[in-house]
Amino acid sequence: MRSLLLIFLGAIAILFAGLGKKEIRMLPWAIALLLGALVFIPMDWIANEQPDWVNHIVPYFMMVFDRSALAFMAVIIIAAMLVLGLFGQREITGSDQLGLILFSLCGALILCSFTHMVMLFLGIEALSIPLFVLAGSRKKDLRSNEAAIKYFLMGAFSTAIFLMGCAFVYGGTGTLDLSVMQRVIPGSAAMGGMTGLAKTGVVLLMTGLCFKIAAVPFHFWSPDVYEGSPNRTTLFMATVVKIASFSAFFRLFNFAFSSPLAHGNWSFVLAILAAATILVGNIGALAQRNLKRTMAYSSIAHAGYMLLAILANPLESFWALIVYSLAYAGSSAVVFYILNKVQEKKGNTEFESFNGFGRANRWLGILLILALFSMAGIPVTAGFAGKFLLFSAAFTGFKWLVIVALLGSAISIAYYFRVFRHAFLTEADGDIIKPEWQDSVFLAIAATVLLLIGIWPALITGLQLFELH
Amino acid sequence: MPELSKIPWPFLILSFISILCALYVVTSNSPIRSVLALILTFFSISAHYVMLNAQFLAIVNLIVYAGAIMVLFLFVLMLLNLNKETEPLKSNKWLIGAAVSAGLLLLVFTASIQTSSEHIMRHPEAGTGLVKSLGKVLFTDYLVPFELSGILFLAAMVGAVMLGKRDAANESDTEITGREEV
Amino acid sequence: MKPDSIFHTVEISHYIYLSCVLFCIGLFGVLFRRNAIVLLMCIELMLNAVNLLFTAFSSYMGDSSGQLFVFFVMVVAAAEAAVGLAILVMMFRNTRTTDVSFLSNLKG
Repeated sequence: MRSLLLIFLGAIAILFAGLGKKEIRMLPWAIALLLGALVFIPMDWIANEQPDWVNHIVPYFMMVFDRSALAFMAVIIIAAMLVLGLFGQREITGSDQLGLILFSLCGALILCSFTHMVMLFLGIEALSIPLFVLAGSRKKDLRSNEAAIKYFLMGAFSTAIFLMGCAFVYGGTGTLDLSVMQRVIPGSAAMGGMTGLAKTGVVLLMTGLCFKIAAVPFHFWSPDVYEGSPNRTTLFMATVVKIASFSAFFRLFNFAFSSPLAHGNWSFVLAILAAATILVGNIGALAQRNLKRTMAYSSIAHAGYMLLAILANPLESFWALIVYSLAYAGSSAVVFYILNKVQEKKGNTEFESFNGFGRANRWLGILLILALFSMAGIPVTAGFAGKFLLFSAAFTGFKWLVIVALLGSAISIAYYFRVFRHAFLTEADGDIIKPEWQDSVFLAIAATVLLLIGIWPALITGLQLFELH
Repeated sequence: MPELSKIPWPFLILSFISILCALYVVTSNSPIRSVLALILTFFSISAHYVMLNAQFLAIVNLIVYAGAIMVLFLFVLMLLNLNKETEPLKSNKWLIGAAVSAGLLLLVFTASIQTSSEHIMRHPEAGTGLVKSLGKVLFTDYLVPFELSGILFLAAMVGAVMLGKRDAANESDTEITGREEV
Repeated sequence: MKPDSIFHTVEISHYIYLSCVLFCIGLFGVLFRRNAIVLLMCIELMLNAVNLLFTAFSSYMGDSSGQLFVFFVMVVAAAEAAVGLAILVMMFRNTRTTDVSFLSNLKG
């Protein structure tokens, strides 16, 4: 709660500070703000209860900051810090853009902690509306315009479908509160199962959320939007938005619709979607000639792996999802940083632009290898730990799906290796890229996260989660 | 499907108007006519709200949707001078595809309603939709979402201004800045 | 008509049918039309169908939370329309059209 309030107030303060004529560098303040928000999380974790004043002011709060919410919030804030830290130095960062990113982050944090459909809906919108603008923030660039309009139309359309799902679930269960819903749905088993209204509603909700996480067959917008948006916005969409949507997905389906009766209704559909997402994402990535587009398809594939966590037993898969999200955020940040620097030098992100990159820049090259290894799931990196935990959590219920996922990972090595080949095994001379010291700090943080969790995943999975909703 | 003769006529007439206007919105070639038909649809939906005893929503629907959002649409259409009927419609392939998918969805909806509409408990209370009772709930139970919608508006406003404001570099644009604030 | 008589003569299922039909008309429009402004209008139509459904459920069940949800949907629809029209105007400045099929720079 305190982190959410801090970020919200900070966003307003940054907006107002930008009103003056004098240019002030806001970025250090924004990062300090996120650090402050991050510090509150261990404090809340130890207390593990809502502060009393919240209950006094608002009798019914519609959010719960339990440990499962706090874990996701920490991951999201770290991902946002990497986005701001790695992309703030060179890009023009007006206070309005920074404010919008922080508002969007508020939405992401709400998606970790809602207990009511109204909060879920408003969280999704607070997350998306600033991003529609940020996707189009290069106003004169036609590709950026196209990304903005596509993202906006898809976002609004998926919102409409999601809302129809809410309405059907409301009609079928008579409530919008997740905890009441959880109680009502098993009760309806006595009356011959979930009502048709509720079933249709759950499927529509799933469709709406699948649009947000870009799962097949609702993924068609994402490569275009990812390619057209400015690099920083793309990274924000690929990490923060995706992780927040997964946290919402996890919370909704493993809390409100978690009873065995309801689970039987949606799990099979979701399993098929996950398999299709993994295959289409990986095979689509193979066909690309542009690294940014490849990353878009690879992020579709990663969404497919993360869907396994929603299908599996939540107590087992929760930490797997957290580890995987951290690994995904860290490695995406590194790859997008390098991609951005290369684009600044060469003007595009075709694979040929990366020729000789690894020879010219030793440290960045090693980082690139680390990030690619983590994305492909090769041991000693966080990506391997995340994939291992995810697959073993899902193996009891969905053996065939885990086999599909392993197949997908095998395919993915091919295109990650292609990046490696261009960067290291070609004779051309690459440009030398000198990261500024601030960038180096955040790159070091990302690398530490990737290595530390890869070597010692128990650092995270050993944390005690008393009550998981 | 229920028998038509048993349904009271006000409901039938209003539903007929809403569906007809909605179809016109979707099929009309001129955006301005679409907007006007959409406003008519909203009026008929407001009338439905009154029949459902949701008086507060009926008024808000008129003020916000018909009054603000649709006028915004009209402004943009007129400022951009888009009323020429220039939109080439998509080919028949698209028409059939869209019609089939919409029809299938309707079929799914119908199936789910038929198996379950009797489950819905029926205890309407006369006062639910009045400003007094809604306001009480809105400012107690729903206070946090209410504040959150404030964040949403602020973000939308900043975003719209950011996109609408002119950069110093390009002065040759037509005079269309500053119209997005609702 | 007396205020409450509607609940005894009109079944809830009629309202569900009506809003489902409106929703599907909106969906048809989104799939079929190409003008971005009309697309946005079709999405507004879908949102209104949802609102009608929520209100019907809420009134028949005597539960105010559905009507409050509609209130928030309206708020968000207003914010979304503002941002969407801003994006549309930005695109129009650069391309002089609002036809979405014109947008095909990003393919691969």
